[in-house]
Amino acid sequence: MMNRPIKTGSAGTLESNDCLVTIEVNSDDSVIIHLESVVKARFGKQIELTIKETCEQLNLVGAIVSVNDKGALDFTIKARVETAVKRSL
Amino acid sequence: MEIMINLLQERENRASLQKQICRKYPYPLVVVKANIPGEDKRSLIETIVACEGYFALKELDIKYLHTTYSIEGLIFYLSVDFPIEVLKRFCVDIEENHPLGRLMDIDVFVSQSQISRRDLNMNPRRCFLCDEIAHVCVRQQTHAEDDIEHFIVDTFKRYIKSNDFYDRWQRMIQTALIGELIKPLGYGCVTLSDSGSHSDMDALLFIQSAHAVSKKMAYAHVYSNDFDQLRAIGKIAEQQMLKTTRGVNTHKGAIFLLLLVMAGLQHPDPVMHISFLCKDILHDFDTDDQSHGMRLFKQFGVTGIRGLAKEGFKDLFKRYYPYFQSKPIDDTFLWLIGQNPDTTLMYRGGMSLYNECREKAGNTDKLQDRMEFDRWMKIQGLSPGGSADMLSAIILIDCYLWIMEEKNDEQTDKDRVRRYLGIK
Repeated sequence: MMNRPIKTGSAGTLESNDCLVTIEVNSDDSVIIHLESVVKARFGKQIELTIKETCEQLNLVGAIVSVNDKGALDFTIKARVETAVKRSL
Repeated sequence: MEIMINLLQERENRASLQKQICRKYPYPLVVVKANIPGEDKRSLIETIVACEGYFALKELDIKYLHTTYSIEGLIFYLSVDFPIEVLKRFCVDIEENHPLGRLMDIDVFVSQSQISRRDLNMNPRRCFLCDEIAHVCVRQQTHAEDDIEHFIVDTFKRYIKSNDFYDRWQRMIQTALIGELIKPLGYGCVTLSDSGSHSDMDALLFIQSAHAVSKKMAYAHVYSNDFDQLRAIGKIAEQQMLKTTRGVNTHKGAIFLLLLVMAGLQHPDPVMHISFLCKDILHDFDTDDQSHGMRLFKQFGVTGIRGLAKEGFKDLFKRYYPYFQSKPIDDTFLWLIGQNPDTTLMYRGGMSLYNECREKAGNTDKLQDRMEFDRWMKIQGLSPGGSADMLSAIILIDCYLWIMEEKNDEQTDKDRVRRYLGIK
């Protein structure tokens, strides 16, 4: 079963070692990921991969996923994306 | 895993609380907490770190002050009437230069958004252990947990063991008085989570009082042979307490007890020394003083804390402290309630409730029984304040013995890590 957001949902904070994830409705079926991170230069690719994998596990479609990362661990990023998606359904 | 999820949830709750405060009070908001990795931040070290951050800021023009205590540990929220940029620079200065600053997190928010070091063109925070930017080491998990723990405990030990003897004693006394509040259940006493049987005090009042009285009591370190001088300092500390709390008795018993313990610890045989210092103390009962202890003596013939002092607090040194060395703080406190002749309890409850309470305290192995006993004490309006004072004295003894150890013993440091950081 596919998960398609019907409203904007967000989770997380802008604290150190956390991230703020916002899920918005996309006009088509694709999933677009925007990442801002305090460690983007060094870990941007890795973090984007974590976000992408989490979205795939959740069978997410038609979403714009914006992540503002303040140095969160993968575990935190994954948990925040999951909660934000839940809140957008 | 579940506890990590709770931590994330708690952080979201806090973000929304911060927003509410920012909306209600149109000033910069400063949030002070410990910056120590871990799943449950309710430990002695983390509590002292957060308090020291607050003490460093408390002279500012604070328009609103709030605290929370959760799995995230103790957190202070201060709405401060001060220009934002100078305020942020001051907070960074505390983080960089206070003896516990490296372990603090002092965040500044203005109209709901956080001001970062980068916003002021300042260098980002460095890692505890190397020169790398902190975010990078956290992300890469560069350092072993053991090394990080060691750094934290070492920083705390250096703070307590200051080369300045006044600072050393002030910090030990303050740690002892605040440390007592981390007991998970208060059985009527104030803890960081609730006010127990008291309607006129809470944890914040105790924390403020602990800071104020410790600053006076620390002067006593040079008078360990002079009972009259100790008593004079005790009176000054007591007056400072009443001024800070606007007349509430938070630490009167603790001041008396800790000043004597402090004097005793500086001699080879603390029990003998305290008992020598207090040889004439029962003459107090010939006077007309109206303290709780005096009234109980007149009513029941109980010599209370003075009687214990005359014996050099021998149970404290020979039985209570050794018990604490092998038990969690909750077990110790409960056991103390059953053992310690607590005149605060007698005073509040009379002899029959006092005896019932001591009996109940001895029959609570399971957590459920403990919670039931905690409820019962609150319903009865009882509060074992004398046992809480003993707990402070135990922590003071432990701190003193720790810093006086000749060599750095990895094993005793590790034991302390376990006790102070709450690591099982």
